[in-house]
Amino acid sequence: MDDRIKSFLDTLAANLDGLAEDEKKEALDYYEEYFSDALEEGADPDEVLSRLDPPEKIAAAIRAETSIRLVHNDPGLKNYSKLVRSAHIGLTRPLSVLMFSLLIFTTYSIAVILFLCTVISAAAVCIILPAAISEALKIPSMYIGEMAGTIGMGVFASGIFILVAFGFYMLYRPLIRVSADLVFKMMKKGSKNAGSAAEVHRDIQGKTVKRRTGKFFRAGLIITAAGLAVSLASGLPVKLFLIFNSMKPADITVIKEEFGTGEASGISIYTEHSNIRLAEGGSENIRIEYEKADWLDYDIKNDNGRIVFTERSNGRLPLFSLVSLHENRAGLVISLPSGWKPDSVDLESRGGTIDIESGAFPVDAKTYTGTINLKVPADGGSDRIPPAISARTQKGTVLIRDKTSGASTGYGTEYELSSQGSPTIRLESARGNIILSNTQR
Amino acid sequence: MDAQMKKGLLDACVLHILTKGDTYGYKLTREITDLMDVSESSLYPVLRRLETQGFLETYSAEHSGRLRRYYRITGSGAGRLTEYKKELAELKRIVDFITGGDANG
Repeated sequence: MDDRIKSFLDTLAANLDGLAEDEKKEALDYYEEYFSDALEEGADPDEVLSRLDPPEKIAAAIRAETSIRLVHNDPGLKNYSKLVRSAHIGLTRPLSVLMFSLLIFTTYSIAVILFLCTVISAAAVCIILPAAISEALKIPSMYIGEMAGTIGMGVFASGIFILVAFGFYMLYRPLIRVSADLVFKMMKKGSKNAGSAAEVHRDIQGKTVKRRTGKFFRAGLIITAAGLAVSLASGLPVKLFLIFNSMKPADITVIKEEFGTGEASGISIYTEHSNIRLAEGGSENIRIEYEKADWLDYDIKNDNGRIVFTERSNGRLPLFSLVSLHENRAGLVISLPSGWKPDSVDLESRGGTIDIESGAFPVDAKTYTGTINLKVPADGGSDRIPPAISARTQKGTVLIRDKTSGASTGYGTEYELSSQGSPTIRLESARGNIILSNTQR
Repeated sequence: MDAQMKKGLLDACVLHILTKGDTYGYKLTREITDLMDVSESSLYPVLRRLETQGFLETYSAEHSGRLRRYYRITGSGAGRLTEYKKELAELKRIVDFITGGDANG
């Protein structure tokens, strides 16, 4: 074989390094055969070579074609990087190098972010679904509807995240594709080489990808819809909706208890998140009226002269420790006979609001996220000793007649109103607000 | 002729030549370069791409003691060519309009 042709083929081979083996062989075979046919027809080697581009340029074009094809078949960062590597060789002018760098940097940054979003959404599915199932298994088996509803809500949320992951993925692929086309165009600029590959590739590759991703999308939709249907049928979302919008639950059992002032000298109340109201008047007895929601259980007893009320979850609601951070509008009303002097009234609610509208002291009220409202009757009467009030909240604010009050301390906000007498009202909320109105001095 | 325009026509030319019979790389290249001014090395990427798109297929046949690769148009390649022809017919009407060659002028 002619030396010049041999050196042409060697240079071509060297410049095709890194390409898939069969792609490389294909190209070399083509040119080998090309020269054989040319010489066979009596062409002059010099003339044949002069009609061809230099081997470096040919190799660059082949690499570009191959890598853009890879990107279009599978638009991922790996194939994109291949294209970028083959592209940067062809760039010489400083301006195009700068533009190229900007394009590559932007593409990589966005691609990485989109890719992470896809991964995070997919990971969310892997967390939510097992979490929903484990939460559902904690529910007592007699509440089968809530169990199904919990799983249904988990499936629904998973479906949503599948769709979100899919959305990010769908953005990610065209981004790579568009950027690859731009890189491809930059490479081709000024070159005589033919190939409007980008456009042509799209019309055949697009269809297969669409069909596959379409299936995936439909699967996501079906999962979402199925989860939604099951959870709606169970009524669980409605229940949670009512709670989180501070609306009264639909199924309430009213429980009434009465205690004579002779039998009790103090009261202790604990609710998970049912609101507590301490009111005054209406009867000679201590009356307790409890609106029991169907996911709560209660216990009431007279413990050596102390009325003790305790509320707890019956396990019917999933994620109760989260749900109970929000108030339950169904509540507990304690009506005290006017003029009754208790030893102490202890009120505690984790997520519920505590309203104090009675002049019976001392009162101790405590919440974690709930608001505490203190309304002492303005016509308290002269026989009443004005209360000494101490209110403190860690994250909330103390409002007195709509004005922010209290001093910042190491604890949070603290407010003190002293009086000579001993009966006091102690209010404490970790995250809720404390609101005082009609306070007498 | 504009390089961009040539690129688009190249695919159509290759497919058209193949409808007249199977042929091999060198011969195909010569036919194209006789017709338009493109580098002879332009053809390989075009052929490779048309092959991966399924518009043409290759087979090897013996020729004077060595194997020679022949290109053959496929059914979908013929379909693609028909599309090209339709597009070119429209292009021709526009060219005729611009150059004032329209008989009804």
